[in-house]
Amino acid sequence: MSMTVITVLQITGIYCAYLLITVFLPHFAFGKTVRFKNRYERFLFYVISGNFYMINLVYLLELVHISYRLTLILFTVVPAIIIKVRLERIPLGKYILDIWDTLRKLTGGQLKVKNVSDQIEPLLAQRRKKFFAKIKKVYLNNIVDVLLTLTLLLCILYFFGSHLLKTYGYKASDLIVHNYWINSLSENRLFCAGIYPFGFHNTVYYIHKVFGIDTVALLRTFSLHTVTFNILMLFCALKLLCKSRYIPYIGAFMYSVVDCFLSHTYGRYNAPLPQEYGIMFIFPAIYCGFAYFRAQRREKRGLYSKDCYRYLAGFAMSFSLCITTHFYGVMAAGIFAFSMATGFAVWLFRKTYFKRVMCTIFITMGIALTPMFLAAAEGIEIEGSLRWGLSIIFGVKGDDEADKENTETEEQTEIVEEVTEEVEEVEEEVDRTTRLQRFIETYSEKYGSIAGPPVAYVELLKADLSSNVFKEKDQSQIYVVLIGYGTLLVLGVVIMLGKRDKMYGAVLLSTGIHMVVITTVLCAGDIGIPMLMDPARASIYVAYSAAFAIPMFVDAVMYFILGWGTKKKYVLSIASFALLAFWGGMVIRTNYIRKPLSPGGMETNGAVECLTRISMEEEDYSWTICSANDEGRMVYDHGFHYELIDFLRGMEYVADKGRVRMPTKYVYIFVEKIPIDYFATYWGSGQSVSKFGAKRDLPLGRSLGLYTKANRWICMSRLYYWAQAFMELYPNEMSVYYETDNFVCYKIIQNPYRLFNFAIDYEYNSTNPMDVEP
Amino acid sequence: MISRRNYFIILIVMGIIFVLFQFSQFARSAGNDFNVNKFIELELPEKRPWQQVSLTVDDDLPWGDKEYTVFVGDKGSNIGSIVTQWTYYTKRDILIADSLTDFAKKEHALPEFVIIDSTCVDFDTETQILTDMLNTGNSVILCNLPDVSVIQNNLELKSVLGIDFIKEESVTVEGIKLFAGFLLGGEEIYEPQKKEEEKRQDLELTMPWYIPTGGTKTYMVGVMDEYFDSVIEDYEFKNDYFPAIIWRKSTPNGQIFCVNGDYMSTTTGLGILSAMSYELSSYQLYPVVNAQNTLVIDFPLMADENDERFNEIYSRSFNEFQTNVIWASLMALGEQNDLQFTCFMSPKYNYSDPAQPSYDEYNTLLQLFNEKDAEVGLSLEHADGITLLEKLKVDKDYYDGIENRYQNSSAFMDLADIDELDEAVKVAYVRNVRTIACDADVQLPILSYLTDDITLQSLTSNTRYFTYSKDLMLKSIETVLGYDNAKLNMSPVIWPESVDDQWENIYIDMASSLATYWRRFKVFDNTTLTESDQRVRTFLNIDSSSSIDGDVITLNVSGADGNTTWFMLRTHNAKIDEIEGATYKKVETDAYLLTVNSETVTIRLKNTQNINN
Repeated sequence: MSMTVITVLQITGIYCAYLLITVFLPHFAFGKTVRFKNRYERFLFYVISGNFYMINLVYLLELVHISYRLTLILFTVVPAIIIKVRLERIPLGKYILDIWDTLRKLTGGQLKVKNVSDQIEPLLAQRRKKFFAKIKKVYLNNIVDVLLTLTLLLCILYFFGSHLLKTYGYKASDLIVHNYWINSLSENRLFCAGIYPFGFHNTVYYIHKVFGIDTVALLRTFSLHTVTFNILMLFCALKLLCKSRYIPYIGAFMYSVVDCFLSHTYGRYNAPLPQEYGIMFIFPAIYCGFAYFRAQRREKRGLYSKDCYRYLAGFAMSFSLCITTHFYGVMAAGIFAFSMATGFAVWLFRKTYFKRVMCTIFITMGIALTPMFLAAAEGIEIEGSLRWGLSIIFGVKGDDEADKENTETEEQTEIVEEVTEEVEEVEEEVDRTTRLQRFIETYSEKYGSIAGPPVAYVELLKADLSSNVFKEKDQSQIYVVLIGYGTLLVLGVVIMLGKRDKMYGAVLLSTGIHMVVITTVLCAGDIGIPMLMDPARASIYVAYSAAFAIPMFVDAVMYFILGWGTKKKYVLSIASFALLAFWGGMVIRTNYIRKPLSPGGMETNGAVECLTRISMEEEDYSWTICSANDEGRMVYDHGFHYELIDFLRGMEYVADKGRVRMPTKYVYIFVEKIPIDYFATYWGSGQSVSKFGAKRDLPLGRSLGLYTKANRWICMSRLYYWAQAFMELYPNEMSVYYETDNFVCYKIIQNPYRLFNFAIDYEYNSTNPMDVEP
Repeated sequence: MISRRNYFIILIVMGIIFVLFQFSQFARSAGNDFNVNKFIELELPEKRPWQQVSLTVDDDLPWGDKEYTVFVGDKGSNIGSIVTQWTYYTKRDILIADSLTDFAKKEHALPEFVIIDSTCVDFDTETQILTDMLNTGNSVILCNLPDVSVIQNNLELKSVLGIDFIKEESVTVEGIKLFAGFLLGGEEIYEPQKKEEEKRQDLELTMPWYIPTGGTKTYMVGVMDEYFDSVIEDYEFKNDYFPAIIWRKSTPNGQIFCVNGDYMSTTTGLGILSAMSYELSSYQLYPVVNAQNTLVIDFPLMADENDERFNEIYSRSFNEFQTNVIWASLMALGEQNDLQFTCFMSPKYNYSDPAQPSYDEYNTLLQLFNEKDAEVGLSLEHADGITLLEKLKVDKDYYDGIENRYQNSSAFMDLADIDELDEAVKVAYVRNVRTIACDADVQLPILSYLTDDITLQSLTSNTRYFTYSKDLMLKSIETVLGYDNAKLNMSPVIWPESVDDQWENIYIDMASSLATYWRRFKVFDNTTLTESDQRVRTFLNIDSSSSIDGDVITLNVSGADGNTTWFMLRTHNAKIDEIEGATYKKVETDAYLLTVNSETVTIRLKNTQNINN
């Protein structure tokens, strides 16, 4: 089976597993109670409740140290059944007794199989009929929607998934760390490296444990699933909020296909990362917030229903998922929530609304932060990157930095302080004239002191959007975006003041405010206000929000112009379809389509293929891989890893007097014949292993720097010539397992009861004992 | 009163049952041509044994590029005999040198192996020669090691042998572990686990404690428990510090095998040499006999010897016992283990016993043997007090008195009587004998021509008192020859000296050994001695050569004269993908038995390790 087929099967399997937990299981558990809801709303609810349950179940079981496959399955299936029985008032006892009675009669010969099948057949026929009728109703009657949605999904697969079949390795440097954290969950060690939002890790761990899909496979491909659901959530939110039927497709296609955003705004979808996973829950939270206000208003009018609680619960779940997953997602969702509070201020500060909203916020915080507080109570410290993130937000130095400073000698500290003071003085001077101020000065001269500052602000937004979010292909499109912001604000207020759907107006106003605020966050550095996020990160959220706001703006204009009269629904549908068709045609005609993602891997394809095959074919824990770093986390659950630098150092200076052993029957040696550029390029990027490289001293230290730039080349050159020498000594025991132009994997079969000593003299071992590392 | 009708029905049913029972007996005897030795009809290959070229350093070497083996040592020593036999069986020419210096002086092409008897090496002066040999790409087999003090004081030698350090000059281990993949038959731990197993332990347990260095591979080690734990307490991988017994040290050019113990001076050395040869090459393809004989010596006897004692122990006469008990048990044993017996009959064993051989049992026993396709050979063994020729003379009278006598084609004789063979074969009833089995002796080849017409097939194992060294020897001989000549000796049953010699005890010992130790070699054919004689003659006649090109091995066989031959193919992590000119059976991992019926065989191997394939 080729690696491409394996990858396709893995992607399909992960889709099935994720859909099962996040869609089908919630549908099974409480599908009947929300059956009267719009299908997009149901889908949205299923996804957030499925994710919410999955993540928090893992938290719960991890905190009590009973997280295993059995417990995970048990605590998934049993509650789902209980919920279904309770909500649908199913007489479970009677069913069981009936089945038991039938079985008893069958085994006793009082009943024949035919009798039972005769009884069951009409029921099954009725179900079949109902099922096909539903299919017809849902799909055939909405054939345009179905075709457009299928096209969207295919586009997502192509633009975000095709790279998975070309480059097999991890595509982000920090995935190895996430892999380690996920592995530690298997050992019931939550927050192994410190307190960190573990939502993403819990999800991956859950799928890995329950469905037996390797963590490596998940971390290689889950980015596709993440982006699929991110776009589907955006699409569902638009579908639920837009007045016109086909405008939401503009948002979804714009975010997934159209070449309007700079590549870094979606480039991180090449790897499954917590931040990108967290994006999925922003719009469900926002939609639930909007929907709550609408439901609360209905309730006020006497149309009492449980919808208020449902939407508040939805908001609580989604927002807590944002907190649980990544703190940048919380900021984006928080900004939108703040904008929503502003847009719906007219209603929010009424007693009933305010009380419920505040309660929900407390519950949300409680749910999301409890695991972290419990861990903190156990004495676990905050994880480094989170501490760094918090220090950015609150402007304080992290402990690491403080510790580092403490270790400096007094003399050094004095020098550093002197230099720092000088730098700060210069920075202060620069800070005093921010980019905004310079813009104001320029435009005040041009447009006068009254019109100048607003123009300068708009120009600054435009400049930052053009350098961070939108492509500069056509400068006018950024003006359109900015006009869109303004239009959303204006139309929002106008519609709110009018007699038509006031809530829709509030939604538009909130969206407009959100766009202004989040774009301001993007420009914070230039404006001179504290930066909540660095522009590279903020641009990701701006792009995602823009894919929501722009269709909302189009929808608002169409609604404002055409949304009158009794036939407004049909008019809007036809007009929106025409607009979509026109827009789609223009995009295709002008070839305004982005290229599929094509990131480079952090491992060679050969390494990943070998690792996958070894994991699949060899008995677990009967093998060890000796390689540079990454496989160390990837082999977890299946085999062992020996660090390359330890391997080489084990025979440095001592040759065959050293002792390097790997206590498994099979040993695999991964050699990059052309070492990859891990993190960074260097003067010799792309060069092959060579004797020249092998002759150089082994790099010192223990950090990842050992495997970057020329150090990786030296290590791989050494390993390559070690392999050649070892193969001469053990021609029958060592063979080439897999080889490509840039990678070779050697397999060594040894007697596990009498291990080979891999320490040999391979000609390049250093001999000068003065070189020994202290 | 029964009715007439019922009476007749009962009568008819009884008649039918009577006929049915009698018919089976009648059929058994009618179709049983027990007086004919069907094995004697097997066509024998013409005697044209492969001629080995055996030279000394004084001779001109005619080989050119052809591979040959060098033995440095005394040809007349036990090791010399083993090396000579092994080169003969594996169709290798040999150069014999008295010392390393002599060999080094001679200009020669690179030999396939240099096999050295350390007792003929002066390590103080000749270590450098050994180093040079390894550097020039020689593969060296050191059949034994010099005294530990010699190694201790010679750092260069220590390095050449791949010894990292000497943990103790002498240590007594509790058992010995042979690792899988070296000899056929798989991994074995020769360490008694129960009280009753202790009698099996007869291996050399005291040895110098050598710890090999990097670049070595170990095939056999001594194992210890408590003492080892106390000495090696702080070590990470304790197994790696067990005393090495057989290991290989590889250098970039050459390789050296070391044997820490006296294993090469017995027939065990044959298999070890084959295994070492296999370890040194990417594959090994060599001829084997493919015969497993089970010889029942001194069974049956025609006289009721030791009758009084027999009645005392078994409450029946000897003749009754051997027919109804011993043969019945052997049949069961044969069924369970797929054995084919060759029973060596004799009118008498102890000629001082007054009992006279009976003619009554002769046909009955032959009939029983024939039903199970057993062969009947002549036992020329006898108790003390009579010579072989005297025995033959006495027995001649008995055999002359038998009408339609079975023509025996095989015989068993004492090693001590082997010199009298020429005279023996002149006796009429011995004249048809074409193969002789006798006890093994390291100086005597296992398989050879004794005379122009008669082959020798030495016994290779004994099912009684099957000790660990015998198991090692069995594995070794199976590895090199695919052959076993197992002995079940009945003379102790007839003349028991202790309770251990009683049939029930001998049977338990025999049955457990056969079911345990022989089962591993079930892939080889079970034969009678005459059947195996045919295969041995073909084996001795043939010459073969093989070569590998990529993953295709070509085998050329000559001298088989159209007879089937068998070859053992051992590969390293490869399996047979396609084969032409032969069929094959898997013996164990990476070992295949080929049945060859043509002069050229092509084998395509598939490397099981490379996923690019």
